[in-house]
Amino acid sequence: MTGSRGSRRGAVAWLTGQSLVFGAMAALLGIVANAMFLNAYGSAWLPATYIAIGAAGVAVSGAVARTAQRFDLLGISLAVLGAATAGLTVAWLVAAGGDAAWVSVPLLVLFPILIQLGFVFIGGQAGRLLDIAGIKASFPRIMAGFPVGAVFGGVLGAELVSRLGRTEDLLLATALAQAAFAGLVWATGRKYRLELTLPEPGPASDGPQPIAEDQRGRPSLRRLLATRFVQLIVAYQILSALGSQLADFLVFDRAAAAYPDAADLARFLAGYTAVMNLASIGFLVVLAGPLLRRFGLGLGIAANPVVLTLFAGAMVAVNAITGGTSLALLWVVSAARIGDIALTDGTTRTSINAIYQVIPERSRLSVQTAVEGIGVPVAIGISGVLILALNALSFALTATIVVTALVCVVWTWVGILLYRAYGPALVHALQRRPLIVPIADLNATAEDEAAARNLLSNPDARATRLGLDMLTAMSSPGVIVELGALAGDPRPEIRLSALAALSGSGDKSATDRLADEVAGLLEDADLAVRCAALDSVQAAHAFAVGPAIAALREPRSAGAAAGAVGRLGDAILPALADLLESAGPSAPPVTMRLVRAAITRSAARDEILRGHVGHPDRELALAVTERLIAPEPADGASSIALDAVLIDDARHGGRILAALAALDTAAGAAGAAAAHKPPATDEPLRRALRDELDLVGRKVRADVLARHGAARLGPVMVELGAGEPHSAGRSSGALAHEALGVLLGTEQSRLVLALLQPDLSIPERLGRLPQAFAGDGLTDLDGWLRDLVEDRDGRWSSTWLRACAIHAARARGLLEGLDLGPARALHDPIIDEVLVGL
Amino acid sequence: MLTTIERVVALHRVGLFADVPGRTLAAVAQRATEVEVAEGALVIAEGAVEEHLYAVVRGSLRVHRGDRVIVDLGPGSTVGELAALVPEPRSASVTALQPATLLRIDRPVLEELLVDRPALASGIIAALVAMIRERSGAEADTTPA
Repeated sequence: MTGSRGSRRGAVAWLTGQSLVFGAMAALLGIVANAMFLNAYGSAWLPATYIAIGAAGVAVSGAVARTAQRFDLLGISLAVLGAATAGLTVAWLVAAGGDAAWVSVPLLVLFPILIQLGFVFIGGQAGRLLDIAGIKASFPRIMAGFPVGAVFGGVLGAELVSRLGRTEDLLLATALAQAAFAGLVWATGRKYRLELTLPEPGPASDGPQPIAEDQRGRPSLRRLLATRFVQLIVAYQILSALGSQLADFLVFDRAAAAYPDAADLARFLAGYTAVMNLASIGFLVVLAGPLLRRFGLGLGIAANPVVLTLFAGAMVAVNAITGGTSLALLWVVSAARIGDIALTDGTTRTSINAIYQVIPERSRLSVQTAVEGIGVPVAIGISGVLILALNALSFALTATIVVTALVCVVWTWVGILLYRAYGPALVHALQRRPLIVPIADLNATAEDEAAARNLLSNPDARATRLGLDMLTAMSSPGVIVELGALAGDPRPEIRLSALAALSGSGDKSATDRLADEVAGLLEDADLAVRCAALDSVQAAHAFAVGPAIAALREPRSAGAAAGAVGRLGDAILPALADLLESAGPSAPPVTMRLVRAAITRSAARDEILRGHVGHPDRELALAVTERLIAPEPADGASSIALDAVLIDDARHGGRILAALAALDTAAGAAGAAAAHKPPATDEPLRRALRDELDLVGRKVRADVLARHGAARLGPVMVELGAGEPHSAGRSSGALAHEALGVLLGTEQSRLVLALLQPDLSIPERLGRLPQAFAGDGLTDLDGWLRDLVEDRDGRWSSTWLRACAIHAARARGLLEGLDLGPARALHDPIIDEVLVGL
Repeated sequence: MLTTIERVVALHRVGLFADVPGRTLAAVAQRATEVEVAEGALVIAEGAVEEHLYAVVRGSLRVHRGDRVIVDLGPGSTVGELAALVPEPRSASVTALQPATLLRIDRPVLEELLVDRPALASGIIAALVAMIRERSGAEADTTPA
């Protein structure tokens, strides 16, 4: 992956050069192969060549795809392009030698296969040299080289034919263009050797892969193609090629019907080709990149099938109203094909190349070759069979138009499925293997049991409890007897542990005794005994709610109390609701601890919590929201609350950033004017704002995780937090950004990235926030200090920030004229301290 | 007398508390005791059993065992962290090299902070490791606890 912007520009230039020469080669080959074939055999045999293309495509591209599993991208590209150059040279020598029109048959069959492989090689290099964002931004420009080259090749071909007088000699020009294409690939490989020729790195993700691998770690082609995600790409590409092929056929078919005169037909085709190339180049250069950046791959995948479906609908209507030979129908099918070509090159190809990025690198080239090199020729073959079959019907034109419309509808549907699968595939690509693999079973030996029994007689209560826990976990025979004896132990901790273990084994009397013991010991004078009682609290011990919450207030028993609260489940909910309701902007620690301890999920708990996701004490709001995080997305009511609070949090983030920017601007101005350091009295405020920004960032992260589910967004957030835009061999950061855009939508992901993306400066964050979120129109420090000190509408809701703002404003002599009444009314000791003497 | 804000600023200079948000540290600062010591004054006596640490706000301290100097500490340093977590007899003495302002933080305050910010524990471990490494350069295994 090329890291720097300059390096990326260089890579785009090299790839655009390849695309240009490739386009020229394709035009020359298309001219010479079609001209030789049509001259020798006529157009009646064209559908038969379509079928041959399908068969040959499967054979050739299948071989290339299998080879791609063993060799690097550059080696395969050069081998294929070199072989094609040699083949074209031989074809020229054979054709130049005399009557050898048969040469056009393999040329015509290989023509679309070489085109597809050329796109695979250019797309494969782009996938290695650019990340997803780079592909979306630059691939349309790279592809713009192809139609430009094709126009140049067409003009050159016509000129050469008129000068040389023999179409066959164009084969030499084609071979030279193909050699130039291979030369550019080789030169690009030399320039970017590290990215293009190093052995493929390991799987993109250490987690379970969408692509299964064989025992040697190499994915088999069959397994690759059996993956649903890859199957959807294959289906999408086949339908894309089928739709395009049928539209192409309809243009030529209707043009021949509309213009029976050969000269008129040639004039129409010349104009049509010119408009098609200009439209394609214009769209690629001007619109495709910005559209993809603005609307993402959703548009990229859907635009082509939707537009062609609309045109197909128009074809059906126009055919029904004006008849099959009308110029109106010709204009509609021509417009459909022009739009199809522009969108195929501009959005479809770019989107599919970006989509390949979620496939592990070591598998990517194989999948890409198989999908493009096999899928597209297969589609051409199918179109040949279809056209032959439809032509046999008495209503061939109507049938062809209806079939085209149906293909486009199915293509649109598959596009929707593919985009839906894209988000989960992105998340899958970002998943990491858990660091700790849980051990399923503890297979204890006789020695282990003996060691555990020895611990039972240890005078240290902690050792005895350890032995007891070990024996219980081992399900040791006879342990019930030992537990029974320990249930009468004079030490309360041992007694409680033994009773809890017996209760767990189903002993009803032990359960009753345990409840009595716990009730009696929860308020014992000895802290260790209280903690042991808290450790033994069970879900049915509703009487323990009060003592457990009281124990949360004491740091040394807070851990045991938190465990008890967690086990008590919904029994703590009334107390939780009361504490949350009564908590003001500075909630007491016990409220925070109770929220953090309320780990047992239930609909009743979530209903209480979701009412406080926007609590004025933002630390408490964060704890509440973190409690709502679950693997699955939030339900309807929680979603509404979380969406609303995300907007509020983002606005607060924008306010903090704007206030920090004002502080920095004031410091810069002071430094420049007076050549002294900015006042040290600003520092507490600066630090407080930075802490608040960090808090808002964590809150925003919790908001989206709770709203969209940790299973979907967890890996994305981990990767985003890692802040490694270019990790080994792939761009995890770019994948995470892409996943966020797909899963949250453009607007929400923009907010989240502005606040959470690491390594952004304050102005950069502000610049990425929508204008409505970037502060409240305040720009100068005086205005922000007034806002922080007065906090008229309670948006800041932080006594610490307010105290620091008063501290900074006082040092700057700005307190005069500010309304300090609301601050004084808080009776906060820190604020009162900074207001002393005023 | 330092204000709470000034105490928070001072505590933020201490590695142990550098990552704790000011709004949280304010509660610690409010409960900390400000101690002024004169040059040559004994801050910690070897063998004493105490449950607090000191953060140096101003001035400098010398950690020593008898006449043997272990390390000199300046503003932003802490001394006695281990005792604030696990009360044991102090392993070295600490004397003011010049007039110093210290913030004394008692064990319950630190425990409260640890309960609500468990991540601070990793900061404490890191600070202790750094302290031990630094001081083991002067004398192995003689850190004042």
